[in-house]
Amino acid sequence: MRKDEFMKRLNDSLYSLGRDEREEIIYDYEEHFENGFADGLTEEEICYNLGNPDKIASSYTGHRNRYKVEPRGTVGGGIFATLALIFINLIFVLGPALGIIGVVFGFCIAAISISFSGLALTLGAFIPVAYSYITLPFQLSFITIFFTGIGLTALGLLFCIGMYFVVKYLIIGIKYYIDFNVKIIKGA
Amino acid sequence: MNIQFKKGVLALCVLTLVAKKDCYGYELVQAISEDIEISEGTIYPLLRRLSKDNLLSTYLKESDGGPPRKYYKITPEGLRKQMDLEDEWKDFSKKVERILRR
Repeated sequence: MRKDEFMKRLNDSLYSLGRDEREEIIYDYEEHFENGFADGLTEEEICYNLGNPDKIASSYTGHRNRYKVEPRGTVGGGIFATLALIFINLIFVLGPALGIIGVVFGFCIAAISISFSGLALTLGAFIPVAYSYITLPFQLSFITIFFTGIGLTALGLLFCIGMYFVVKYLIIGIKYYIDFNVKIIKGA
Repeated sequence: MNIQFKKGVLALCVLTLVAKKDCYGYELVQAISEDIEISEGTIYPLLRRLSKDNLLSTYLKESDGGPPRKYYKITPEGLRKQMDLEDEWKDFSKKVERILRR
């Protein structure tokens, strides 16, 4: 294998990492190649000694904390921790989590529907036939419907933006919690 | 040899070498592969993990006629870890010895 191919495969296999981290890693291997060339090695020899780039990449992206001389935590402990975790998750975490997800989902739908109803109202203001579908106890003028529509659209979009952040942090929170569970199971 | 096991021992080797003097990656790779047969590519991920865990710190230093090299330096935490791992290793190898002599 040549250097270019090695670097490309390494870089491709590291796609799950951020760009900064990937560049830092790639830099280490650039340096390695430079030093190897200075020692009079060929590209092929250096690549051969380094090993499979996909495997190397997986040791960056895979689970951390693997440098203990002896594996700590016996298999029994691991099973116990796993069972306890499943138990706790089922009883205490699952219900509230589903509840929160449901509420957030509901709010998202509300945000989207407010936006659309605002839009419909704004456009509907131009179609006099549509007036008969807006049932209010008093007669509405074109201007009222039009600006109510714009106001409602703006409100809905703001709501959408707000929900975007709520969903984002909710997902981050869930990921964090899952990682935490995985760590416990793996005995880190 | 078992890969997991080798990795643990490698961490001990790297920490020990860096504790003696600051090294750059390639230097460490050469020093270790002199005695232990490894894919050289396993050292860099290890160095990165050790740095992330604050056992090693890094700095760049100019080299003559090349790009600056990344040097690794041991931290106080790293030194403690090195001692722990060394004790663990000695204890472990003693036990293996005992089993072999049975």
